[in-house]
Amino acid sequence: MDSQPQPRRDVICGLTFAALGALALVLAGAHRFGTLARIGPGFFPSLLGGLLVALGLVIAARGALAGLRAGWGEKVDWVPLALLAGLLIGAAILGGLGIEPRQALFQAAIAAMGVAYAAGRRVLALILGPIALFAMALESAGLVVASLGLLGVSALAARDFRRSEIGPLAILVTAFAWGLFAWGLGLPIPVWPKLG
Amino acid sequence: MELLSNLALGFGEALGPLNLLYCLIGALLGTLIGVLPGIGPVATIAMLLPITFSLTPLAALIMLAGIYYGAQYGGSTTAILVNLPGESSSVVTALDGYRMARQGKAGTALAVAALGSFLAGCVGTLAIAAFAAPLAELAFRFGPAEYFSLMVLGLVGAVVLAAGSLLKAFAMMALGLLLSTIGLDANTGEERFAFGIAELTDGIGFIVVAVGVFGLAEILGNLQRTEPPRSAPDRVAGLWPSAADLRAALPAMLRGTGLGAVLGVLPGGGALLASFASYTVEKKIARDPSRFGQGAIEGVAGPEAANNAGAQTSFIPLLVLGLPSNAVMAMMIGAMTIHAIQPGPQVMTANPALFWGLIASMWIGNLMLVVLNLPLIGLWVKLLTVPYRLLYPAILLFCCIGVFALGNNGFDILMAMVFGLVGIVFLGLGCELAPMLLGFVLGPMMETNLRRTLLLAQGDASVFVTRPISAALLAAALVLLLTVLLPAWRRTRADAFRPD
Repeated sequence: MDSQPQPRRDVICGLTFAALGALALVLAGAHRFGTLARIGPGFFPSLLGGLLVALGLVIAARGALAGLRAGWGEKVDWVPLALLAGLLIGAAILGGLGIEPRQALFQAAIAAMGVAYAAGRRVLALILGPIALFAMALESAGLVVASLGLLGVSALAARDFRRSEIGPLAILVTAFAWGLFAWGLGLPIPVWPKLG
Repeated sequence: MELLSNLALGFGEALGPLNLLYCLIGALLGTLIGVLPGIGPVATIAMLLPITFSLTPLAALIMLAGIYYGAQYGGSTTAILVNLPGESSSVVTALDGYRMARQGKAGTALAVAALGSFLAGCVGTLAIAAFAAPLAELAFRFGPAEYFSLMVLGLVGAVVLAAGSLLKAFAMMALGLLLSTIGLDANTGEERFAFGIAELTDGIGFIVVAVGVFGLAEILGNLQRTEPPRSAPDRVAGLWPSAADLRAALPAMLRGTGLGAVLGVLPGGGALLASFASYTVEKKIARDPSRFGQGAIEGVAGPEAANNAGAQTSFIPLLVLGLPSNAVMAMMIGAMTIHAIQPGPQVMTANPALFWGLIASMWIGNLMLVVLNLPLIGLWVKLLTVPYRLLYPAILLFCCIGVFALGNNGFDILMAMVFGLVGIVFLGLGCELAPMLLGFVLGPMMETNLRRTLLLAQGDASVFVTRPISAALLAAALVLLLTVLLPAWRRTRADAFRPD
């Protein structure tokens, strides 16, 4: 529900969709397309990829026309889009270098959040970064360590954070989470670090 | 009468002490998150899913359903008292409700909102009970062609009713469908787009996607906004509306209920759309539209009834067809799957105690809310003074644990984080996220039914329009699409012809 048309943003949005659709078309090309009577695994994704390319190009073209006619509107925040693209491309490159794919995605995610922090996106980096770390640490370091880390770092993202509150907050919430999920509900979550 | 015996069965189930307790917990939790801005039903359900593992399926669904309609009650309380809608469906309530509160009629506004919600809750529950059986009857006659067409209608509805650009909503839906094809192909067992990651061969869980694009992206959005100061309101007095107030409010409540009940069933509908539509209608038919925005009681009664009716009836497509009409209903599918219940018309016949028990519990929950809520208003308002900086780290942690518990796999949390970034990116590009999630949820069913239909028809795609039910569903989708396209087309034309 925008109050003003933002042609510049629409062009970028459309091109993003078109690029994603093209990627899908390429990836789906590796699978059998089949016939109408016997649709192969490549059929549905190819169809959707084509649809996404078409829609993206229409969105971009309409944006471009509007922009030429009435000005381009506000500047677009490139950073999140660049971070996402960097994360995915980075993971693909790391995977190509022979790193285990899960690890590749994790390392790319952490790197992207590091870049986000360096680029001045504190909130984004301080929320999503610790979540990525939590994801990878939970199974080896256990719930207590992982959640102390997640709570302690993510609490810094608030504009009005108070240093004195963070310690007690992290400890209390961790204790609560341990009590409820691991002890109370008996979920199979590792609680303490795996040794050796 | 069958309806009565069904409802009797349902109440027998829902009135069991444990189910009653979980109904209360769900309704109270719903109110709580409705009061608190910055946490919605999607994230709450994700946090609570691990808790439901140990419950019976009925108790789990009762509690999760309570969260959704409870949130409608809670959201209006803060909208009226402090002009801070806790849920998006209460945004319009704040327009006139807060004005009424400023004029010293906070009690009246709250009471009218609660009574409107309750009235709508009763009607909504009855509507589910009355329409579910015939609809399920119809659904049993559905073949793959009908299911495919139904999903087309569902997706078109979700796209058409999404706010903002229609084209972008379409593209988001296509993106959601594409993402759903990740993993093993159900027909051939071929691995698609998994990039050698074992976890991706099972596909991405949609709770992972929902937590990412709604839960995490929502928290990020809240932290980046400057928070409006939260002033504690004065004491609330005079809860009972006068006879004149009631006379003015009652017709609006009834209109809101009807409108909400219809809009709730529509794909993409639910509480949010219902409340906006009701406010527009009340303003249109009012003798003096200028009163709206200045504390018109109809502007509170109508939308509040509508959002609750919409919240109730959005369960109809979920329970009867297995088709979620919004993100919260998609989460409910997730909950049902965890408890090994396949949503669809067979639930009612295979598991009548569950089906009718859930419906009966919704009425009981609405009653609890209206009884409990008014006395507890002071407590809810006090909760608003808890600063967000103390809440969101815990919300983050519980969301992560909820996602982990789905498959005891840390990789799911990493995927949720990636989808959080995806959510931020597309919000920044002016796209709605709900169509993507619905596309993602419906994708596998859609592909399977498309392939099955064409296999049975030996490649003849005309079956979609020669089978009557399928043709009717596709026609409905087309009509829906045309109705939004036409005014937009006219507006564009008008803009083009306007002299500069």
